[in-house]
Amino acid sequence: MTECIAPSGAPLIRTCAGVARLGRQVVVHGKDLHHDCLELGFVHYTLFCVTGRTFEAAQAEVLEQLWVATGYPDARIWCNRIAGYLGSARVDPGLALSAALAASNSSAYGFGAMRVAYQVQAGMPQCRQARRAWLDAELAERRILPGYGRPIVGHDERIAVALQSLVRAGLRAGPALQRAFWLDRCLRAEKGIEINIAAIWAAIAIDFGIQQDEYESFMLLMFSPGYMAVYAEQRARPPLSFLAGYQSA
Amino acid sequence: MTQAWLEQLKAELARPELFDEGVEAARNACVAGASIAAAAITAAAYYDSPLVGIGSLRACMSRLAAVPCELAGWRAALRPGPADHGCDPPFTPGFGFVSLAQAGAVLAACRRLAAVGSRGPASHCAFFAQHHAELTAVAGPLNPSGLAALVFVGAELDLESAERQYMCWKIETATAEAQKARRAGLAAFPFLSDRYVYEGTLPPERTLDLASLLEQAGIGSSDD
Repeated sequence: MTECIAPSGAPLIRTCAGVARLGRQVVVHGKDLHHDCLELGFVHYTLFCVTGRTFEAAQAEVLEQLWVATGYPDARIWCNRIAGYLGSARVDPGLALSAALAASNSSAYGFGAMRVAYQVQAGMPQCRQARRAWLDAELAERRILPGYGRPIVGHDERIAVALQSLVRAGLRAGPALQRAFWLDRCLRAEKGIEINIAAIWAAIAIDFGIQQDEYESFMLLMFSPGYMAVYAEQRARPPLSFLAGYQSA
Repeated sequence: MTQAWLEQLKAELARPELFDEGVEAARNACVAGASIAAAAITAAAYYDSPLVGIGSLRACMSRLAAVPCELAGWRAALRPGPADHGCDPPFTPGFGFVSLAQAGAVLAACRRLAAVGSRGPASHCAFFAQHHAELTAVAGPLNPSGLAALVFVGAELDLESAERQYMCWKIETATAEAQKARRAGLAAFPFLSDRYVYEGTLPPERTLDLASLLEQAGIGSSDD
């Protein structure tokens, strides 16, 4: 059904994502938000909004736990530190969240790193022989493989947690996750580098049928509990006391 | 307000001795490789602060706008008032929240701006410099947003132009520093590991058996 509320000749927004018929009904990708979507939970609903598809309950449960497992409220992490500064300066939380989110669009961690980690996982050949040849070529050209290695410390404590979520949900590793760990074994043996959570997230997303552009839009808020924990604490402490006077340069 | 005045105030506000936590926050935004858009967004958010940003600038300008250069009037106008952003102690917009060193740097900048002339933008700086001891006793030390407010009020700049000017200057300075941090890279940027004290409850550490989980998930341990 098409609903057109613009007067003739006025600019039109054409969309299938949804419509808020205020005072009556809100429709999201053809479902009634207030009657068909409340059971999804926030993470699954976010994924539904991005993709227009619902996922198996077990898959949604895994994704939910991946999000929770990476909401780190440590004020040293760069994006969180920003939230700390902004809480301390009494900046409104909406602006603080925007800034922390923008900072997470980094290449060494966060969304930039996640984007290229997805590309690595999606680009890895399925055939074992071709995959080995691909890896040899990557290593010969001394390319960095995002999703492997980690700044500050080498080991990523979220790997086992992600696997536990998968197992608890009754799922087994799909082909992309199998390949991700194949590459982990190779890089550990040949370079002493371990897999990090960006590779796991990407591989699980690929196994769940989430495309790269969908993945990038869907994962955006996963770090936000960490930002807001730091923001809220510093907002409650004396004004401008967070790292007061500290300059790194 | 002449371009020369704007340039001088901009240069004063961009001095490294006045770099504040907004500059440092912007460095954090870019140090791991994000676009300067992240630094600009961070700086824009920081300098929206009611304490040291455009909130403070606007409030300070509003307080001084109709006050003649006469000490009693300024003392009354700069009396601390309740913070309308929460339950923080009363403060005077444009004052406080600076270190001793920064307070000295702001006062020195105020004096340099006052020395430019006795009329227009210089007039409020000159008046503040002359009475800084009495006014500091009432309001605390002048901060950069207060310095800008003095110049803008003296120049009769409207609030919207003033906040736009101040915000743009601050973003420019912060993004330049963010770019430097990004060039230097994460390895050169302190993670502050040895300056972090967690004071909350610490539950016992629990470990997961990775090998067992790999097996349960059907992930082999060899290349076979």
